[in-house]
Amino acid sequence: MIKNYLKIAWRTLVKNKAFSFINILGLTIGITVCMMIFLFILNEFSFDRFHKQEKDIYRVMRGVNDMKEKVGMSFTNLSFIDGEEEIKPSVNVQIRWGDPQYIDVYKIKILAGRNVESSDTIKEFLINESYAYALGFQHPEDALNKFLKWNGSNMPIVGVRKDFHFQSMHALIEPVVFGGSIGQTFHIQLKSNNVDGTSWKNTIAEIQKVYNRMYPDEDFNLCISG
Amino acid sequence: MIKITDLQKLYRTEEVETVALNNLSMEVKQGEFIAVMGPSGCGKSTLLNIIGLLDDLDGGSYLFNDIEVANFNERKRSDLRKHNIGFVFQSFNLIDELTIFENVELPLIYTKVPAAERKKRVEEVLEKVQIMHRRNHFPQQLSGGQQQRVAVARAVVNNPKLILADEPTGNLDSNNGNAVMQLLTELNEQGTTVVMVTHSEHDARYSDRIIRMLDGQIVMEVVG
Repeated sequence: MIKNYLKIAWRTLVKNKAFSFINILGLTIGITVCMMIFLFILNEFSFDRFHKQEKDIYRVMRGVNDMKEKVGMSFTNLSFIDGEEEIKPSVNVQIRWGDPQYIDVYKIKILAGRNVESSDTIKEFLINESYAYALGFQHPEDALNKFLKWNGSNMPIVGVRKDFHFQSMHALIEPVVFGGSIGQTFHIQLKSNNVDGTSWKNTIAEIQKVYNRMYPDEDFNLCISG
Repeated sequence: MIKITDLQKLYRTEEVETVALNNLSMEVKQGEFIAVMGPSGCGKSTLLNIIGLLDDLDGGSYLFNDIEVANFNERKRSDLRKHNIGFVFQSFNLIDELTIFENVELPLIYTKVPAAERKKRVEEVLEKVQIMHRRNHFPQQLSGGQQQRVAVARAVVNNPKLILADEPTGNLDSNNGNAVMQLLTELNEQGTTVVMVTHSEHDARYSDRIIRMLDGQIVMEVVG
């Protein structure tokens, strides 16, 4: 039966060549565009979905006056190439800093040692697994209490955390050093303790009040993380 | 073979309700040749469509071989249709993309007849309607009369118990029309029941019984 339908379909296509060509071309373009839109949307929605608390995590943005234009920015952390003799092999290392709750908000597992302690300056480091292996250590524990030279000082490694995608899931995980210090970018997690979200609104309103007091000339922006 | 009692069929639109068949009762015996006549819009084709299980009825009873088929679902209807009923239409309704052979073969494919058996039966029936020499042509390459002979061949290839013909000679000249009527008569003589809708008094004379309809009802029956 199916064979018969295919036979009829094929002969109709052959009989009306120009009409078939236009139809098939139109259908092909239509389906292709639909698939591309679908893939684009899928890709856009795929970022940062792996966080266990992704619905509750926000990134605070700053609206800064730059040459009379309002510019929204979240300052990215500095990165540096550590070419110091003490560290071999030489690899690109990202340095990130934040308060110790950063580890808890993103549910990052610590494989060895402990989290950094809260401080207004960097005095100790937490490194990721990739960096520990790049430094030549066989096991995460081996990196504990070793020192990294930074800004002319020796900083102890107090913990090794599991590799974590701090960028896109499509990007490779690079060696990362995390310092316990107040950074310029901060992510917050708001407790979703009621269904209608009014407590979030109250909390955000309070944050905005403080922010506006501290930065009267800047806008306050809040976006869902990612 | 067919017993219809108090058959009702309505066509509804949002504003109007038209009674197509109004408490119609009739009986068709095995082996009969019946002609249904009447003016346009009297319900002839509706009646034929209901007998052929192409259309639902809104009331009454329809027994086909002593089985009530009024409440059959679509699957049962098509099953009964493809094994028992052959159709011949005024405008032939052959599939333009299939050859004559393939058109006639189609009902056998639906009833899952093996390929070798299909070939044999199609050739037999094409011989019978004298169109074997055009078996590899497409319908558009044939005259109207030839196309209707192919349509008759397609209707009878499955050896149906009943043939329903809706103005089979309506699009044909008298010679071709007579040939098709002759074919239907031969099939009827071999035991097939034929119900034919026609406007032609000439064609109706081939039948055993003429049913005349008006406004959805049978107003007269003439036994030939």
